[in-house]
Amino acid sequence: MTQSLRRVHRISILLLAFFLPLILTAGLVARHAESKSAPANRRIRSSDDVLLSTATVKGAGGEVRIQLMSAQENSRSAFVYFLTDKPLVEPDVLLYRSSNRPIASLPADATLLGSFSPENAYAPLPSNSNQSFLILYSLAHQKVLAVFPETPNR
Amino acid sequence: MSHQYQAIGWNRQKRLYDLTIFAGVALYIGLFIGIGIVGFPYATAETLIIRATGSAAFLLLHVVLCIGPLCRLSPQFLPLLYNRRHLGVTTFLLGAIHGIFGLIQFHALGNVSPLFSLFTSNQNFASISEFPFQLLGFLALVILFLMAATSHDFWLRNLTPPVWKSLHMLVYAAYALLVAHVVLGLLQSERSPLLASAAGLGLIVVLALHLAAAEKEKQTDKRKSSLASDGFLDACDLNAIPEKRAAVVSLHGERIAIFKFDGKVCALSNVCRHQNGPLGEGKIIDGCVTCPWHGYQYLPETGASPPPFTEKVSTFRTRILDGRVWVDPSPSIPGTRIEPAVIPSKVASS
Repeated sequence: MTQSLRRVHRISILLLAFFLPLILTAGLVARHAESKSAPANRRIRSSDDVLLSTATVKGAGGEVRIQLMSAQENSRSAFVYFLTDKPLVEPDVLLYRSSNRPIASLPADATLLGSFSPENAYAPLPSNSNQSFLILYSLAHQKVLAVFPETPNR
Repeated sequence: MSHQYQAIGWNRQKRLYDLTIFAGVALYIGLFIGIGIVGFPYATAETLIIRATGSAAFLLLHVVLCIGPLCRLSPQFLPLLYNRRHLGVTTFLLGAIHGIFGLIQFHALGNVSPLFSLFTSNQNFASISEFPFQLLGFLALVILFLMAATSHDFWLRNLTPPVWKSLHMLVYAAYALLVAHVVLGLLQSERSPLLASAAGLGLIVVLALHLAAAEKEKQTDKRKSSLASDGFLDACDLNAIPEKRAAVVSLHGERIAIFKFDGKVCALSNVCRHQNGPLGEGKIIDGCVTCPWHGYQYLPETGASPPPFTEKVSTFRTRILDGRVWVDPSPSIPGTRIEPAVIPSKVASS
C-alpha cells in the first residue's frame, strides 16, 4: 500500500476504534432502558375484572385458550387485556380492532392496535360505540387467528 | 499474472479456496436452519433464512477484515489472502439474500413499493432503540455491491490500483454500518448476553488486529537514515537480508524493497502494480521478485515483468559500503535497468 493510502487506512481504523465501541455501548444501554419500562403494562388480575369473550387458537405449540378481560383501574381509567393458559407460540401476531366480524381476511375498517402480548393493556372500546371485535392476526401466515367480541358474554 | 483480461484465471488453489468457502457457508446455513427448526418451531422459513444469511455475511465480513492485518503480522496467513476477493463477493451475495428476504418480509405487503417503505416506514432517527436500522444495512449492502462488482482485475486495471484500493477501503464504512445495523436492530430485540458478547468480541478482534498491524507498519516508516553527500541513504545492514529475500526500508516516505540474491543487491519499489501488495515480503523465484499476494513477478534489475507481461515498478540505485547497503531514494522510471551492487567477496564470506 502507498503511504497516503496507509495514512487513510490508519485514520479509518482509529475512527472505527473510537466510534464503534460507543455505538455498541449506546445500543446496549438503550436496550436496558427500554426493558425497564416495558413491565409498566403488567398487572395482576383482579376478581373485579370482567370476562368479555374467549377463543381458542391453534399455534405451533398446541392449542391456547385466550380470554379477553375488561378491567377498571380507577373510576376514570378502564382497559382490556388478554389472559392465556400458556404462551402463544406464533410469529408476528398483531392485534386489530374492527366494527365488522372478519370472515377470512381482515375487514377493510380494521385498525392496528399493535403487537399482541398478554402483558399489554389496551384502551377499551369507547362507551358510545357500537359492537366491535378485537382480532388476532398472523402477519407471517396472513390469516385471522381469533376474534373477540368486545361485549361481555351473556 | 496476466497480459490479457480473462473471466477468471482458475487454478487448483483457487478451486480449493472456493470449495472451502462454499462448504463452510453451506454447513453454517444448514446447521443454523436445522437448529432453528428444532429449537424455534414458531419461526417461519423466511425468518430463518434472513437470520442465517445475515449472520453468515456478518461473520464472513469479520474473516475478510481480519485476513489483511493477520498477513501484516505473520506471513503464515498469506494463503488466506490469495483469493480474498471471492470471500468478499460471497459476503455480498449472502448480504443480498438477507436484504431481499428482509425487504419482502417487512416491506412488500403494504400498498407502497418496498423500497419506498424501507425509507419512509420508520423515521425515528432521534431514538437509539427504535432507530431505522434497516437503512444502515441497505447502505452497507450498496457499498458491498460496489466492491463486489469491481472486484475483477478488469476494474483494477482500468481504475488504477490506487483508485481501486481507495474504493475498496470503503469496506470499513460498510463494517461500521453493519455493526450499527446489528446493534440497533438484532440486539434490541434479542436480549441474549451471548449475542451481545459475540458482537463485542468480533469488534475487539477486528480492531485489535488492525491496530497491531498499523503499529508494526508505523515502526517501519519511522526509522531514520544517515545521508551521504551524493544523496545515497544508509538503508540497512547487508547481513540482515536473507538470501533471495528482501529488507523493506522507508526512505523519504517511500517504501523500498532491497533484495539480495546470487552475490548481488537490487532495490525496487515495495508496491506491486497489481493490488499494491508488499513486494519486499515476497522472495525471488525463478530469478524474479515474486509478490506474496498473487504471484506477480518482476525482474530485480529492471523492475519489469518478464515478457509477455507488461507490469513495471521503479528501481533504485544501490551501493555497498562497510557491510551496509546504501540506496539512492530517487526512483527511476518504472522498468529502467539499474546495475545491481555486487557484494564484495570478503563481505560475502564474512
